[in-house]
Amino acid sequence: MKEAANPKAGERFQDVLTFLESVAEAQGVSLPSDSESLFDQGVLDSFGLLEFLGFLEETFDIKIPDDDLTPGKFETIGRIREYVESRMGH
Amino acid sequence: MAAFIIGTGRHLPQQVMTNSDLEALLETSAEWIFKNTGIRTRRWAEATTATSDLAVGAVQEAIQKSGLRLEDVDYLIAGTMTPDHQVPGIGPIIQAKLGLRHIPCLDVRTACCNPLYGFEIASALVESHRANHVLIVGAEIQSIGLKLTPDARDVSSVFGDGAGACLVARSQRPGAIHLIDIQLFTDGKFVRDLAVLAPGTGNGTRWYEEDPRYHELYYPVMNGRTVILHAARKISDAGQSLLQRNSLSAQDIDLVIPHQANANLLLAIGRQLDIPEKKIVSVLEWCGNTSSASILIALDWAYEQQLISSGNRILFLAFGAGFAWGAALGKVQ
Repeated sequence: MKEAANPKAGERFQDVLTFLESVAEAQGVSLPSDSESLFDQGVLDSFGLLEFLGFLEETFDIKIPDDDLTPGKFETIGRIREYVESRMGH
Repeated sequence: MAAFIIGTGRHLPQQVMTNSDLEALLETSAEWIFKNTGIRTRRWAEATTATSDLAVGAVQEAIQKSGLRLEDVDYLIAGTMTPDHQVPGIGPIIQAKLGLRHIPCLDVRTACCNPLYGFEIASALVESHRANHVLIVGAEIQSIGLKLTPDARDVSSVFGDGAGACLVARSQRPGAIHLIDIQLFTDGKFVRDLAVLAPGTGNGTRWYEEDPRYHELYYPVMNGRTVILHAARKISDAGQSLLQRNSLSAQDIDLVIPHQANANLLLAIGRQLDIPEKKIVSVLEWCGNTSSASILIALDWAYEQQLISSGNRILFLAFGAGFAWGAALGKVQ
């Protein structure tokens, strides 16, 4: 999987992948590729997404604004990476 | 504020629909429904029952418990998403069925937030001496509008029918809930994420469209992921904001009476507000999500179960179509 451009963000993005891997394992599914839907693959449901965004806020010390509370922004690992990078100053 | 909730009531239809009853229609399992919603049963009205019938039952109980007479009621605020008729609202129908005086009767259309809007309007009316006893009723028959096919599983497994009512007065009495503060919000950007789109004028078609391609518009729409994300955030923020402006913390709250949307959502809100599950009133397991009625049914049930005691601080929380959301703070006399 592609490394994040920001080394700091990249380091912490590994924590995101670890989190998603543990969720996927609990759901009995594999973590999909960067471009596959985490929803369609059964990794995240509505409440899993809610919990995941709480994790993102804590890990990156950010507050996700209401306007960004759009499931599509977090549907794939690639989009999550883009979002995190954009919030970390890229 | 000098407005007090002095009597509550509820009325549910007889017919119990279990999760097992829905398994074949929605191609799911009873356990999946419970795990995802916290609901085991809900009530569905018979075809011969109108929403106003359920409302009348709830009102009669609230009147009886309040010790008032029907002629004491001088304002009616009704809330429903599922009226008897498109026009007029159910307010006048309830007025006629109960034989109330020729008092003002209005319908509010803020869906699951209707009880909080009722509290706000009733408080303003009694405080301004425009009314002495305001009747608030929320009622729904949602079952007849549900799409009973597997693609609508998330929506159709949740909703139930029922009615709740309460009276708001200026004079207090032991056990009454003093409505201390209310904060309401709206963000209309999300109208289409939680809605029933037809009949209406915003669909680029006739009010009634015979073309079957438009028939989906008559079913409830719920973009579940968006709704959950916004509901959890906005309800928690509203609760925190209300506590803050009243110089209170979560620890000062004895009981939370939220809109009964989904048990997992209630738990998430509890975590975000740092309020333990035992303080959150839930009737979801046996009556499902009754939208406009849910807070009023939960309030009546909480009184019945003696969960409400003198000195308690109660936090009401709601979120629904609009998006509309808010919080209300009460203290038991």
